[in-house]
Amino acid sequence: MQNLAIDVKNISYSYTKSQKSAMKSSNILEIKAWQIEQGERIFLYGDSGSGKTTLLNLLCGILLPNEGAINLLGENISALSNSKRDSFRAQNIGVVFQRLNLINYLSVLNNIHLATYFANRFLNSFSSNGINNKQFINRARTLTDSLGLPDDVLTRHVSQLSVGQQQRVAIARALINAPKILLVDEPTSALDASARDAFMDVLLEMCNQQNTSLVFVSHDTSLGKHFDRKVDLMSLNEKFNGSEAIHAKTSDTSSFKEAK
Amino acid sequence: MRTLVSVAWSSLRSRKKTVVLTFLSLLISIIVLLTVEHIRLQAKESFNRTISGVDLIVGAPSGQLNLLLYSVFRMGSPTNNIKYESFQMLNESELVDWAIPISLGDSHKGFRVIGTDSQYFSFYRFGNQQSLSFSEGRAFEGMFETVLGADVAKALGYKLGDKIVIAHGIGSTSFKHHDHAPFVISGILNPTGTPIDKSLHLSLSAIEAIHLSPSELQLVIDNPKKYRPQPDTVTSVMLGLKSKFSIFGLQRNINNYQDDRLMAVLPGVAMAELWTLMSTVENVLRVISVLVLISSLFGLSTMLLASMNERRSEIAVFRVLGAGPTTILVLIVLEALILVALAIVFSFVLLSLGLSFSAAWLASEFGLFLTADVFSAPLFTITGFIFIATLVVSIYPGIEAYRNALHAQLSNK
Repeated sequence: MQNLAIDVKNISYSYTKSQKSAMKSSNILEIKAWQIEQGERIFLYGDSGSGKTTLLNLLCGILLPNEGAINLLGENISALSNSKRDSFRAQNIGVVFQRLNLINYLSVLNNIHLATYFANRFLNSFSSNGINNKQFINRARTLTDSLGLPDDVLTRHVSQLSVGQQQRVAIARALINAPKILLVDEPTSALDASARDAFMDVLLEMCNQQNTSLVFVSHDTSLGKHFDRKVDLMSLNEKFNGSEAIHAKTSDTSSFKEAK
Repeated sequence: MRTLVSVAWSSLRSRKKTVVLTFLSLLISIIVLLTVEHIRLQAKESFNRTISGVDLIVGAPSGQLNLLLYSVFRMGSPTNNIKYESFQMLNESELVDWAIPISLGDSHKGFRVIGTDSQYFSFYRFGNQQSLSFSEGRAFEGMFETVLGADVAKALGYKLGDKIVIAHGIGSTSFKHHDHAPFVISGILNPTGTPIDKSLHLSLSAIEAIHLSPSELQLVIDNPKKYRPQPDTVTSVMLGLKSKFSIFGLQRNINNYQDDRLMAVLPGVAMAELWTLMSTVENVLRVISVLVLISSLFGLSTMLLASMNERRSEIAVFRVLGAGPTTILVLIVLEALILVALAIVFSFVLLSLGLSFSAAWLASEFGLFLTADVFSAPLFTITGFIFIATLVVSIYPGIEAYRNALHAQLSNK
């Protein structure tokens, strides 16, 4: 239990802020229990509308569940204050999404620096002030090198990069603070097939190195081959289980085993 | 904070076109506001410093403002003169410490000529109780000697000992040139920043002499000791009293004087009347410049709001990196503040450059003696108000960004 990266208990979420469980049908997401161990890599798939993006928003604390608790690394993030939750996210969670990951008007180095800035300013307001910090630049360079980005990428502007390069910079930024959890939302949809495979290899390699728990969301099940555990959100999300008879009411644990 | 400022700066630079236009509109409106305020303050200062230490001004009855304007600021024409005996009466009064006669009505190449006596150089005060001083030479002694103000000497290229001709009337081309009366420059005054700089000073007898017929004038030139023309009238008299307590009593006595029609005014009271007259114009100018500023601040706010749509994804990125909604708000407000701060710096620079180039022209055309030193406390107060106004107008787009940030989420779109 102590090594759980993500521990979701009895959460439900609906975009319309109606009375909690009075209108059950308006819920987009209902999950009884779901756990991910530290270092585990999960492939989360499901059709559009199954609540993938909503679940990611909940996991990184941008949305709050209407009911239930989400424990990340042993911390109930739904109980934290807003600013505590923001700094928890900055320090412990890396996020990469489909596209538009980077701030367009900043250089690559500045983009990566922002991540350390927001992660550190709550700890020590002076430590991250200088962008000239040698340690930081070395670490950024190591990351971009191992992601196969060109040497001068740090000084380039985001607009000068290809989409594939931008996505890799986004990973470098997500990993710069050595987060315990990495949440990735359809990062390959803008990439062609060869770039996609290269991207997947690099991503998994980096997670292995840092023992990062990875939640990889996609509707493209062919990517599932890279993962040791696959989860179908359609069966995880109780909303679909309750109303539709086609889905056998399997328990979460059994569905995990199937996936393995 | 440094990181946030540099992010805000980069964000501004990425939207050059709209930002530059907004910046220009801010720049123009801030320059207008600062210029109006600077000229207003400096004009007041320039008027106030012209006369100092004079307790009463005595002249022919007219408006007190009129008397002040023509006798001190050399604006407009005197309505009437007073008898020379009245000046003598005032000069000999027990209450009076000193009396300076002023006789106006003549000019030299567009500069006013003032008939007075040596008291003028000893007792006239300007600015902060400063007395007149000579950069060269001394006060006039002989009848055909003259003392020039600093601007006169500079503009006409006159040196000590030069001979000049002084005409009747106040245009630069007068019909009746007094060619027979050459004057020798006996002294040149230091600059004062008052109308004195643009005046030529003669003795009262000399003023009388240039109005004599040519034959009489020749007689005077040949034998100045014997035929010293006595003035009949003067335009006004400036009085310094021995005790400030006697000002009102003496003023009443002068106004009720039987042998001549006199009027005495307190310079401070007349000046106050001038300010009440001018305050309407001042206020109109200030209101207009404030409105111009407000409209360009609204422009700034509009620019920030308009950018909000394209920044939706950017805000989501900030949120994911761990920035709170407040940080997003601060970023937007910072952008506004950076832009306004730049506009303020540029307008101060442009204003002081503009003033230092046009100072001479303003002084000669309008009698406005402005300093190019724009770093005065009232202007800094205005700068403070501009920043507060900027905060107020940028709060709305800031709140919009804050709300945006609250609802920002990872999205597949």
